[in-house]
Amino acid sequence: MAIGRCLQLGTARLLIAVLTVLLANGCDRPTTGAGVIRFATGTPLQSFDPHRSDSGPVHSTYLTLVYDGLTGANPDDLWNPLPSLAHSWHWVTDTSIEFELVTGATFTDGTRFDASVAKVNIERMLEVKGPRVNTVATVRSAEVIGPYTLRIHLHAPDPTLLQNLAGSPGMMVSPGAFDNPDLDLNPVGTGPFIYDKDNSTIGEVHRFVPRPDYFNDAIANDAPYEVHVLVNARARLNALISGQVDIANISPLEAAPAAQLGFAIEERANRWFGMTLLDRNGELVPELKDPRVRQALGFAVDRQALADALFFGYARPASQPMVKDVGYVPALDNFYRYDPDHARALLKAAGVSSFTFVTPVSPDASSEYEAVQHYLRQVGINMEIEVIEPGTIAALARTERYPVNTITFPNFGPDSRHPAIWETTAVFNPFRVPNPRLNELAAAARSSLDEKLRQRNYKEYFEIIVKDVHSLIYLQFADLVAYDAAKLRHVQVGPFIDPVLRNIRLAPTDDSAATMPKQQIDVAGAPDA
Amino acid sequence: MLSLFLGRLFGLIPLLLIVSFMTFGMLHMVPGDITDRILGTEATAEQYAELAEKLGLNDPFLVQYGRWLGGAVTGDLGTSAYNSQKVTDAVMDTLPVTLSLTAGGMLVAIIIGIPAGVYAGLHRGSSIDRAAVLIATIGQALPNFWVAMLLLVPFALWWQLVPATGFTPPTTSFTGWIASISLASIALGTSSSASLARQTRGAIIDVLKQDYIRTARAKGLPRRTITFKHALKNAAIPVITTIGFQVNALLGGALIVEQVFGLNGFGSLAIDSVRTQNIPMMQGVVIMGTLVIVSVNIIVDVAYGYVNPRVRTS
Repeated sequence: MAIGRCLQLGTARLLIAVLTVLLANGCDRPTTGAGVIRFATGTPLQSFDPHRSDSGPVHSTYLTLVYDGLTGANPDDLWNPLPSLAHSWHWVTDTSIEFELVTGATFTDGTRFDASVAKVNIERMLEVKGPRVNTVATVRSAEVIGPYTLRIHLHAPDPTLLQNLAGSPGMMVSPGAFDNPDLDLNPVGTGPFIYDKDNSTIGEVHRFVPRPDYFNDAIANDAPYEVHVLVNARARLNALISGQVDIANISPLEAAPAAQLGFAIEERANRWFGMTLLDRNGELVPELKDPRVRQALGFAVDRQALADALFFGYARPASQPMVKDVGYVPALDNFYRYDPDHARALLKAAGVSSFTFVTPVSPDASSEYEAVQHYLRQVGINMEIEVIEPGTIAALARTERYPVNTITFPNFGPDSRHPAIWETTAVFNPFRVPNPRLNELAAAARSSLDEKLRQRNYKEYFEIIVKDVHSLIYLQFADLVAYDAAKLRHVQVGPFIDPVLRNIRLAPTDDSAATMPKQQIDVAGAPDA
Repeated sequence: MLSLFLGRLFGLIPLLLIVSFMTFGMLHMVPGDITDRILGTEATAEQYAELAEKLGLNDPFLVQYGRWLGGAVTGDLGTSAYNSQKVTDAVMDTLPVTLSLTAGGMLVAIIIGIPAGVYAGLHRGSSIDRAAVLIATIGQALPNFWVAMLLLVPFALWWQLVPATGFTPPTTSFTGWIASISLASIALGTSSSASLARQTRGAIIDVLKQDYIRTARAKGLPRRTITFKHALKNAAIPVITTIGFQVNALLGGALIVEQVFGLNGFGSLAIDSVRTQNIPMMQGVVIMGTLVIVSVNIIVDVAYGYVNPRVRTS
């Protein structure tokens, strides 16, 4: 009995100690996050060197806080960039553009930004041949015209240049830091924030403090930022619910519980869901050579059902890769309606009663493609799914191993998609299926600064892509963020996954910790499937 | 005791060589290509080829392994394939999180498992014993991520007594540290406490049947003396073995629990390294993980020697 009493007393003491710690910790919490904008992302930092990283849109969250581009990304209209380190520009000739630069910008190491600095940055960007140098491949050289006037010379006209200079290729690094071995973890830019390296932990949280001397008052922000890396989507939602972050990337699955709890949801249709028909010559699957057979793949699938059931409404049926601006063709929007009878008729007209093809699918997309598989089976098409190792889909899409690939591309605009996917020598056209007309149209569109002419070329271009089924688009689906609307203002999802962080502001009265609802919910922290 | 310790330590060298070679080999068999991860979808075919050459991916396997080993023997486990982060820095940043969880989980297991096992063993056949066995069986069957979810919703999301995600180092705030690992430790330790309770109960029952216990009773020694001086010390050997196994199991279980609680621990680093095919990082994770597990085994061996003189002399 004595031993039993001893054990019971020990357990009771332990419970009291644990509760004391929990309550003490609970009492400490209200001050957490006051005056700080805390964002939970699923994308870990790769590199702070904009010229060497595959930053582009994917890692722009980190880069845009500490760097400025020559032009500024415009989330409302990607084709019309905003002033940034260049306050204005004009085309001198079709292959030469002149930038007037701001005069008050300095790097965090004290170096003043001017035209000579911009010139050596452009040269460095071309020299290091980073992952996105291909997007500004037309740049031939940079020339200093005056202390704050820079001219960039091109090999050929490039209507996308201004848009791409707003991204990582156009971001300016202090020349004194070019050769810093730790530039990838210790940025030296002109951006509105300074990276607080000492208080950041790679893979966990990155902290940024506002620069009091930032040159652009319109963008300057008083609130520090914390970017928390939480790879698990449900963990990000939990962090939001428990008040540890103010804004988080979420998946469609988490959108409903987040909305129920009073969090605001922002969305942006950024990516397409579908398939890329690689074997259009019919080398592996002869049936795929006939465009009618490829079209049958489109008419057989109920896109609305997929959008509702798999993306919880945060997707819309689509038939074309682009969602707006250049390359978007309204008439193609509903080209592939759900019509299984028509699909069967197309197969019959092509002399095909049934056929089989194999496609690789990433584990995280297998349920979506199993739904597609079900619809295709109804019309006599047997799509065999081969679930592959995570992260290998892009490598497989560059080989001739599969006739069809399920790689998902972001819809950045036609100019960068053509050389990547549909051009005869594109890396994602492994069978080298030729289509001279597509190449002509893309070349004509890319070499013209006339928007109307570009759109006319791309209209015909995408009619071929859709009707000849180079790529089969089922849905355009959204990237989502949930946030505490009582605390944050100006939240907007950027062109790929993350919100446009540098535009977010704290609400005038920062009393959100008290105003956010603390409802009981029935969601749990299950790991992602 | 010293020779026991040194013997185990020298045995570590061939083990690390074998583990590192096998890991390196297996990582090279994983399908996919790190150049895809680094370059994304905008690069040209030439850029993919140039990067593969720059990273040494075109070199023969043994050349790549030799290069890595050459650095490793000088204490340099290399740098991340994505940036200049040192592998050792990444490991040292994340290891405290996982060791905290493992220690917390073990503490939970010991605090619950050993007293419950001792009590059940001393009262074999009683209703409490039967209840303890039943609860231990159920506890062993519960997946730790499921327990984690059950704990997370009320304590972190409803009542917000502890943070739902993230780790607070003890150097920043001791109470914050306890709070940040409390739920994860309980989730992690639940199954281990059940195993420990069953092992302890069985060991106590075995020891109580021994002749020397009967002799001690015949000599009229008080029950407390028999239990604490004779029974518990002799029952400790299988219990220590179980603790050693459980520490290793907890290190593995932390991999999943860290995901649920968004903890940037050793497990998260391992998963992220595999996901991004960051071979230098993954290699460092495996080597350091091996070191931790072997260290635990050495401690267990030394503890054997402490409680059982026959191990020392053998």
